[in-house]
Amino acid sequence: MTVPADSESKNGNAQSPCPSCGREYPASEGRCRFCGSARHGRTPTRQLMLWTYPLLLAAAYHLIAAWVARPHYQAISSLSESDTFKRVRAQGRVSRVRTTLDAYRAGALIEFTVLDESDGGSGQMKPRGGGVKPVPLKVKAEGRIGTQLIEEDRVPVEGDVIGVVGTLYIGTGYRVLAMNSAAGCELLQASPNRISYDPWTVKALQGAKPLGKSVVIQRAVMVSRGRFDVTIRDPGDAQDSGGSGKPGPTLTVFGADPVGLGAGDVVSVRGELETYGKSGGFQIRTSYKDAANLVLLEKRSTAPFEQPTSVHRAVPRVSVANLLKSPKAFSGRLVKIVRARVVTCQSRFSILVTDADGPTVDDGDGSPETPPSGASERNPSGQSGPKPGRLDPERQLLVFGVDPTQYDPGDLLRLEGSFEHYPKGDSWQLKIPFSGGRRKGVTRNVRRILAAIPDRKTTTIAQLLEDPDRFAGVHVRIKNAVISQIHDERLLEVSDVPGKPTMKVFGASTRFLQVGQQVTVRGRFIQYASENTWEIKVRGGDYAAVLPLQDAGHPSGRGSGGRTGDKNKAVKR
Amino acid sequence: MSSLLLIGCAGATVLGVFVAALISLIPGLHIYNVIAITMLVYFAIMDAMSGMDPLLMTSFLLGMVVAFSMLFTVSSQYFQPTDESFRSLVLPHERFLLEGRAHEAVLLAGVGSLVALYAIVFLLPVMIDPIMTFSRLLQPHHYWIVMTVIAFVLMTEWPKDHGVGWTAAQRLQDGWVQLLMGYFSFIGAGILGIVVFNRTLVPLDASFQSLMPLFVGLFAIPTYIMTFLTETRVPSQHHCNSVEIQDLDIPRGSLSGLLAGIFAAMNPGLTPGPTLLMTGHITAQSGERQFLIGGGAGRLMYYVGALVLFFLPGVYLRRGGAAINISLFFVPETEAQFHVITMVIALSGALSFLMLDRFSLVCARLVALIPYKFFSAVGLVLLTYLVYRVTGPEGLTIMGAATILGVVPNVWHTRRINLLAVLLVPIALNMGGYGPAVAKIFALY
Amino acid sequence: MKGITHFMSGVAVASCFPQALDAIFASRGLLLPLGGVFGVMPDTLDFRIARYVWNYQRVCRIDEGNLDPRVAAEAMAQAIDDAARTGDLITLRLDVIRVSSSYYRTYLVYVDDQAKEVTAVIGSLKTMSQVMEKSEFMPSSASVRQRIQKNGPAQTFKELFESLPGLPGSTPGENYSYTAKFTADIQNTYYQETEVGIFSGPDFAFDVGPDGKVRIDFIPWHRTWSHSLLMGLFMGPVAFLVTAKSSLLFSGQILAYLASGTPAAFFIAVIAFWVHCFEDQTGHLGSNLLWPFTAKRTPGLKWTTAASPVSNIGTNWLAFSTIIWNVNAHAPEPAFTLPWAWNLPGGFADWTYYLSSLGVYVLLAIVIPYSAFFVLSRFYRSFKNEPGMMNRYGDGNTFEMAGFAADEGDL
Repeated sequence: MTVPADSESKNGNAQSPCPSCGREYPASEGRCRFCGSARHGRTPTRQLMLWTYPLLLAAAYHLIAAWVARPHYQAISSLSESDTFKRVRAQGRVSRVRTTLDAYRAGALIEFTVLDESDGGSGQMKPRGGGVKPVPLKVKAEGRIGTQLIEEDRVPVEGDVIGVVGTLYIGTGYRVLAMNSAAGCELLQASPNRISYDPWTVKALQGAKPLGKSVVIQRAVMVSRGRFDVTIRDPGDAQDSGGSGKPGPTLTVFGADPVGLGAGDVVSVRGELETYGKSGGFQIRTSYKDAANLVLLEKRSTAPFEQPTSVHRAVPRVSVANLLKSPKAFSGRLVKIVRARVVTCQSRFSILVTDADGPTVDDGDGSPETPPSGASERNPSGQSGPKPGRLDPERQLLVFGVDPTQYDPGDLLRLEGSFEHYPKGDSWQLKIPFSGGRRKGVTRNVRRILAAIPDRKTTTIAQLLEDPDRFAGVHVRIKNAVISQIHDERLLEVSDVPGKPTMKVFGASTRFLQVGQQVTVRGRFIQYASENTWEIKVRGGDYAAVLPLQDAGHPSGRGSGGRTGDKNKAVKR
Repeated sequence: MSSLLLIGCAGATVLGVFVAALISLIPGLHIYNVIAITMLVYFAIMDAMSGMDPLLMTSFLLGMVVAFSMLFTVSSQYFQPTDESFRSLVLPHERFLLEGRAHEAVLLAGVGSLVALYAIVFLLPVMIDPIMTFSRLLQPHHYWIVMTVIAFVLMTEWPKDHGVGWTAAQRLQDGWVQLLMGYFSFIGAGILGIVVFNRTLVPLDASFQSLMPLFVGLFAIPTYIMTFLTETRVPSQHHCNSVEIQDLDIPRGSLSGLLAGIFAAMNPGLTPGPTLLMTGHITAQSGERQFLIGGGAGRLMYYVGALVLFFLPGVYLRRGGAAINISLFFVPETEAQFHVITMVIALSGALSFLMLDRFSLVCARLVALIPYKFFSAVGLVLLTYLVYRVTGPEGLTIMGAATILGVVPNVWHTRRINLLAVLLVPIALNMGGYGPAVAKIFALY
Repeated sequence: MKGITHFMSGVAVASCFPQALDAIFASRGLLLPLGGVFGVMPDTLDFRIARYVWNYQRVCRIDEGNLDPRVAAEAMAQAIDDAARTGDLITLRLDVIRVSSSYYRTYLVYVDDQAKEVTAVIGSLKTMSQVMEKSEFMPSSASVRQRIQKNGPAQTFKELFESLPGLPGSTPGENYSYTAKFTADIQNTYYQETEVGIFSGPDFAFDVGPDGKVRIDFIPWHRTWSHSLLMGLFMGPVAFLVTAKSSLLFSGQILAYLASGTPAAFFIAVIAFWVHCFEDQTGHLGSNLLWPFTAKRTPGLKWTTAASPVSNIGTNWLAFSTIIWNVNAHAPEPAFTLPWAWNLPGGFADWTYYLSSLGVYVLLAIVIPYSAFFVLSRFYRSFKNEPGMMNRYGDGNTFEMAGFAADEGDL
């Protein structure tokens, strides 16, 4: 394209400025005699600018493409094995959160379950024959990612609706989403249970004392530690630099697991500020179960590595037989029974167990156990072990601290607890630590490996009466019923609430039961042919089949008090 | 990814372009220095911005990098004229300034940058597999590639004349003085680099900018000093509205630049300087227009292309200070993010080019109104403060030592490329496994 | 060829040695850069040593304030005749005229062996870039010869100066040329015209040959002993010793030191050096390959020119492709495999697989790109060389454009 000269003239000697340097030279000459630049054949700047338009178009295209390609959430129920190793974005409600530290305290391990919101997020089993079985997705944030979530106070809590991104692993028996980065967890809707922690310092707390408030101290220095408590102070005190200034105020944090921590370590702490009655001071009350409550930020001490006090440390794996054979060797120690079969309920808070596969000893080195031939986990109530109900002190162990209503005789359990001597009965027991607060029955120290009755349905009497055919022959559990009548030693009637229709329960011992008592009931729902009525028949030897919700006595004599109330005449069957 | 975030990214890009344009007015300020300042500010206010999507900051930084790549040499060109007593060769853009047509040189370099932008936006995304293959192929060979570049730089510095003297010995001495000073600056820079890499004085918390005092001392400060000593007068600049481009200027010039940029981007330790030297010869680049176009293409391909390698799906190569700094807080993960990054580059590139004309005009007017030494004074104060602020008095010490070495090429008319030994030598030695042995010789290991 | 071309050729040579590649993966060897060093060594020896120690007897210096072409013309003519008369070697340097940091005053000397005339023409002011750009706008040699026959060399080259890149209007209006006569018969081993441009001026040697003719050698110090096969052989032991363990030398174990070098380094250095010499032989100047058995350079094959983009890009691409192939084939885990060959078993250690892959690679990396480039360049050349096409650099000239694939000798 030719750029015309600025001043053209018929006279070839007319001067014209050079388009490049601006100096004037004869217009007839094609090149500037000062800079050598050409007069003609130049490309206008405006034409060059036009070449930005394709770039702007490209920018617009990619903007739209980014919008279109924005990550969409996939329904958890739609995830299948073919999605394994893919990067997946899922959304749902958090149902369970577990925060621990790995054994070497290299980082946090946060696991939580996400339920598809489209299933209602209730986690409830839908009725048989209809609806979609809710499919949970277990999400893991390990190591640096978990620690970052803790440090940024973004660990999900139960009830949160979150979006989460990670790599999916689906196989037989597992369905896990491993987060690749802390940014992959996005809070969409906060749970009402979410606790908001206000940031404080130790010194400020000493002054303001916001009792009952959930507080977080983001940086504190460990002063000392106990078994379940640590003492902290603010960083920057004279002690930090070894100076001799006045020491700053300290604060106790109770309930945390201080394993691996030492004086001088920098930690973050959160919990609820409360008074500590004995000394008249106050402390932060927290729980060791959530590792986010006490987070190591900087390691400055030389505290040696210690075994964590959580149940995840390596403990010796033993059998019931060996425990009872050499009880003193295991006295006071944390032990794990990998496979124990429930014999019977022993009391409101205890069960009797025996070995499932015969006597085996493992000292915790990880070597696999060798079950004796013929034993089978699939036939727990059949062929090995003593018959339920027969006490055999040589082979049965009392496990104290569990809710027997959760376990049927014949269930295979994994137990971990402290093996100790029970002075009152001069016996040995496996004591399961309290889970704190109201006992829920299932603790992490007790895991059911195999249910003797896997398909037990939890229901109510009203539902049973409403559609008895549906529940015919099914093992049922009624979580809360009221004893309306005791017929004899083996027969009683219960109802959901007093005055409502009742249901007979046959087979459970009524010795320590009373009319009006609130109980849990479990058994098989059958039709009593001779009377053409429906009743719940209790399994033989299941002493937890009918259990009071309040401790009102137990078969072995433990518990508070004995039988009260009128005896009812037994009805022979 | 919400539409608000996308609009925010576009806005952050535009903001980054304008901030870069403003900062580009200071001559001698390198893009990695600017990123260092930005990162310091970002980390300081990170808590307050914890709710902000990191993609916004990434867009801002990326917009800054693109704009800076295109604009930051413009101010140096206008505000740091050459005194021919300090140079054996006057480069084309310097000559253009002295002839009053610096604007055309700016536009020619801008054309090269535009070609590089086209390559990055339209070509690189479809070349992911070849890039990955090439990267995989090169991975065990970086050390000898850098050694090869070193060997080429040392072997091919030939004096430009016969030497002055009646006898052969006199001529030999005359010619070799320049060569030996070139070797001296190379060896000195190499030793300085080995010392800094092994036992830097820079405090630990500033280690992510441990090279800043080195580069400021070797390149920026000597240029300021030379500018102060220069007695050249900058003539009035003509703001042309057209450029002379011959048929093959763009393909040959930009080929050289693109090759140099991508070669430097894919190999750690390499910068556009030595690679442009090599690719200029490879493509038999001829003429000053091709030189200018190639320079613009090479710079942008290096700075932006290296950054894009970090964002390319499946490639994720962290090369250059920009990618390393961005990776501190953002790692691309999704296809949508890649589209955002490409959008940012295209948008900021287009805006920068559209701005180039006016930016050059502003620089021309400024140099006409304000003595050019003033800009170097501002740059000197700012950079010195920056070095002190980021790296402390220890960094200033390193900067001082580097400055003494950086003056040598100007005084003895040797190549400034030799000073890149500060980076090339330690990186080549460490990658080749010779680093500890050499460091032991200097009692650094 | 440009320095980088020789350098890359040397690296490519080194990459053909399995020992060099083994050294990379096993012990971080540096034989590939070593190949590059010896690939460019001949020119390094010339431009760092030979040019300084070469003795010139006569210097022609023209001052910008007194641009007299007679000085250059008579200096050349006189040198020819003096060489013929005395039988001695006469050496002459034509100095450049540096006007400023950017500009040089150029001038040209044209030696007509038929007419026995030397014509000197004062040219325009040029920058370094413009001197290098010249070849882009050079008309075909046939066109120049035609013009010389028609208008004479002075007029022809004046027009040429005005049409080639340079500062317009900077050629002198009068007294721009002078023709000096000589009497001796000559044998010109280089171009008839030589332009004195940038950096350092051309050097000439005038020597009477056995046939009685005065042989004119351009830059006689270049490509003599430094570009000989024997010098290449000397490089072998040098490279061998470079790779030897110097700690043995410092501890006095001379024999052990001498035995500790890498044999492959010997061959790499020699072959890389020789490849440089052969590459230079494709140009016009040639080299003295058989020094010291021959005294003069053997003229080149005239296939290409040193600054030709075609030959430089082509050779560099060949070297690069060779390096990539060798590095990939020798890698413990090859980064890429070739179509069709990847169905064969065995890997690169298997000859069938290797040769099949190599065949495909040569097709994809060499044949197809070169063919495409050849077709494009021919198309471009034919397009640019349409009859009546104006030389784009000047106005009013009707030289035919040669295009960048010049018929001077590019492939």
